[in-house]
Amino acid sequence: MTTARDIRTEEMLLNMGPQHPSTHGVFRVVIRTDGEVVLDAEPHVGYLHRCFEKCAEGNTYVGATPYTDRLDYLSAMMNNLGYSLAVENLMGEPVPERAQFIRIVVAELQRIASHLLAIGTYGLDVGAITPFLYCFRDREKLLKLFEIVCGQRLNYNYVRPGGVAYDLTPDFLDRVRAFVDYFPPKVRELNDLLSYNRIFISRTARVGVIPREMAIGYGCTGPVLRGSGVRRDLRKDEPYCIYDRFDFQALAAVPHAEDPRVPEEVVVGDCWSRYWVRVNEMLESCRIVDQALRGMPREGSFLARWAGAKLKEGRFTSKTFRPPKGEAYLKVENSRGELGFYIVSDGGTNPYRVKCRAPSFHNVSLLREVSRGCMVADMVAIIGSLDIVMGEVDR
Amino acid sequence: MSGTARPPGPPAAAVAEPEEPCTPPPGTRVSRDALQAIQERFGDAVLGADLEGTPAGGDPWLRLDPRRLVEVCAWCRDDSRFAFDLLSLVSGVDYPEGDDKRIEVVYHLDSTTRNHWLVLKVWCDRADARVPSLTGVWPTADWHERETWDLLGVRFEGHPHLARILCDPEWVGHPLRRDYVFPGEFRGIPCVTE
Amino acid sequence: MTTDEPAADAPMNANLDPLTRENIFLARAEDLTNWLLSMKAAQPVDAFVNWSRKSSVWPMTFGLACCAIEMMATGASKFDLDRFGSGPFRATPRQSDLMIVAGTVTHKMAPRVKLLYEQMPEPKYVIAMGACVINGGPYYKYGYHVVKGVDLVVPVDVYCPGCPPRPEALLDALFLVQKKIRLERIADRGREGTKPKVYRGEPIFTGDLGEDVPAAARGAGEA
Repeated sequence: MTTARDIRTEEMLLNMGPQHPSTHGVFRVVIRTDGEVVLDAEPHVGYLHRCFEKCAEGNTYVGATPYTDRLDYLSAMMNNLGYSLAVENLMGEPVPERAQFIRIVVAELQRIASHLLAIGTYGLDVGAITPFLYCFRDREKLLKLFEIVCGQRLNYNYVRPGGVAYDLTPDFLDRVRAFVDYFPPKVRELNDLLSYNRIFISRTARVGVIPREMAIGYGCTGPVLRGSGVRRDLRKDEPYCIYDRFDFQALAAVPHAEDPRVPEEVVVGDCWSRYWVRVNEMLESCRIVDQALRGMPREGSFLARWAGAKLKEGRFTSKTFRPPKGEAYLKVENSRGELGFYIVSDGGTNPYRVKCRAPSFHNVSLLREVSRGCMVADMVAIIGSLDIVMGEVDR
Repeated sequence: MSGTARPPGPPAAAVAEPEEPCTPPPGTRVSRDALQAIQERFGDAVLGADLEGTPAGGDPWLRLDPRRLVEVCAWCRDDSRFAFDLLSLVSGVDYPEGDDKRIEVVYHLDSTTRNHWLVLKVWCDRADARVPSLTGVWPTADWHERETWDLLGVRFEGHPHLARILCDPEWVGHPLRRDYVFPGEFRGIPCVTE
Repeated sequence: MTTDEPAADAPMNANLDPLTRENIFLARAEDLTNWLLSMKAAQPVDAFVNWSRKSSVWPMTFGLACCAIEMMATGASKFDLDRFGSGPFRATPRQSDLMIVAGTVTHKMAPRVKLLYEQMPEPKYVIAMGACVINGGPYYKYGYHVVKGVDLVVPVDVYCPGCPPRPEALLDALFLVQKKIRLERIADRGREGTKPKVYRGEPIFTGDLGEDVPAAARGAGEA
């Protein structure tokens, strides 16, 4: 009798990408397969290298902010925030209280929007089309909120060094409140539809297991690291902005024994764990937004005096400034992990050097290690669970 | 699209008055103990240091001898007091002006257990930039070093596969050097804008 | 694909001007015949072929960067590209008519863009979506690795500005492509320079464009 072992297979080189619907952008993997088994997968990046660092050197500190939007275009608010915090750190200047609250509200809403897209497209990758439409329905509501606050749907350029670009409109907070009330039941709907779907669990549980040492060694952060069971969240561990005033949990994946909501076949570090961390982070973000809405000062300025200039009666905008000579590095918890900006100032109006630590860059570098020995069809599940954004990997 | 137009709303509030509550910028959590310990243990490997940082919020750093870099970094990772297990960032900065023309390679080390971090620097010659590779200490150094080679032309000795990572493999020059000249065309596609 | 069911008291009348009915899906053969007969001056075969082609423009999933997210949003629940017969995003160039270049094209990616374009069967159309694809956008000055406009690599039919363009803008670009398809003649297929030119609104610059611009591009075309 012929068994699977007797069938002779040959090695084959398979090129996936750079234009492939499941690679989430222009990402290329050269896969060496033996039958259905992946022997080696070599990621190739750089197809979207847009020269962020050179562009930032050529612009003023405020002028470089729009380029940070386009790094991780799914969480542009948090990119703006990370960059602004690094510049503020370089300046050593404070930020008004109200601006801090506005920043937290928009950043956490952005995290929800980003995770919604990650979850929706992940469903699409492993074959579930309906959750994609459900997620986009809710994401459109968030984009509407962002549109109200700054007029853009995707690349906002809203958070600036010294505060935010515009004050909130009077009805914005009510709309956010309505969303925060609306959203948590929808997560339960999503759980019924996707998270506990048997097919989805079969596709993702015990697939692409990343042990914690591997995740740390490759510099992974965010849901990828937390999905491997490491409870590290910069909002808790190194609080920036005013996150230390909020009550929320830093999440990490746990096995079924510790949390009955996790299916039995799931092991910590697999694709389902990373997915599950994202689902729960959306609820935590809702809690943070809820608290921020309660605590936000009704009066106050949105742009600090050191960074703002008066345009006309009642209109303010950011002005050019010169940070003192020095260098600063600051990280924030982006929706994909720790986003850092290392800025060197020579005392001029333009940054001397801006270097971005992109979380996806680290998360994707691990792909070769984690996909060794998996099935070809699981490659898609693994890439989707890492939730990479190529704009950020290639910068 | 109303990208620049201010959304309708009340007139903007006044720019911050001094008495208004303000939140200072986040402080850095650079481990001064680690700076101290490295200086004590590897005194001869430390070529320079800024232990104060800039008053505005710049980070203190240590400048190491490139030949001792791997040794010091491995110690930083393994010492249980500091446990810098996460290499956060490797960046290169080009200084073509002044007395000491150099490329600085800056390492930001991070710890997932201790919540502190550390800045180490290495200087190298612009004409022949060579730094030992840290791929043996942290696997993530692999891609970072490839990127630094690609954009700044620092050659990492001992790197298993030092090839361009972001730019096209046929690209000429290292774009983030300050004296980089933009190419006129690439593969028949014009690049010049002005 | 959705069909607009006519109300009982308003039969699907073929006397409507075909230009105003471009997005109505003709479900009944009787309506189709009437509609074709109503096009007295035009070539009935052209009209029929163009109508069926423009009602099923299949785009290729060609998301490169930020604009791809808006392209996805256009295909998703709220904006629903399916309504205009353009729903099925094909993963392979060989099954698609339309390439929406959504996102920055870099020098590393440019050969792939060209290859994919060449793999698409004729007739094919290209929408340049977003500022980067049109001329490099924000990366125009310092973006050493960014191609300053995808029209340096492949011919572009419709430019859709924005950074990123809103889904409505992309829909508008799709309508322009459909308009272009509708104005084509089968007899002209494969002949150089016979693709119809369509414009949205008035051209902004009305002065003399100089000798470098082909004469055909100077006219306002069909408004």
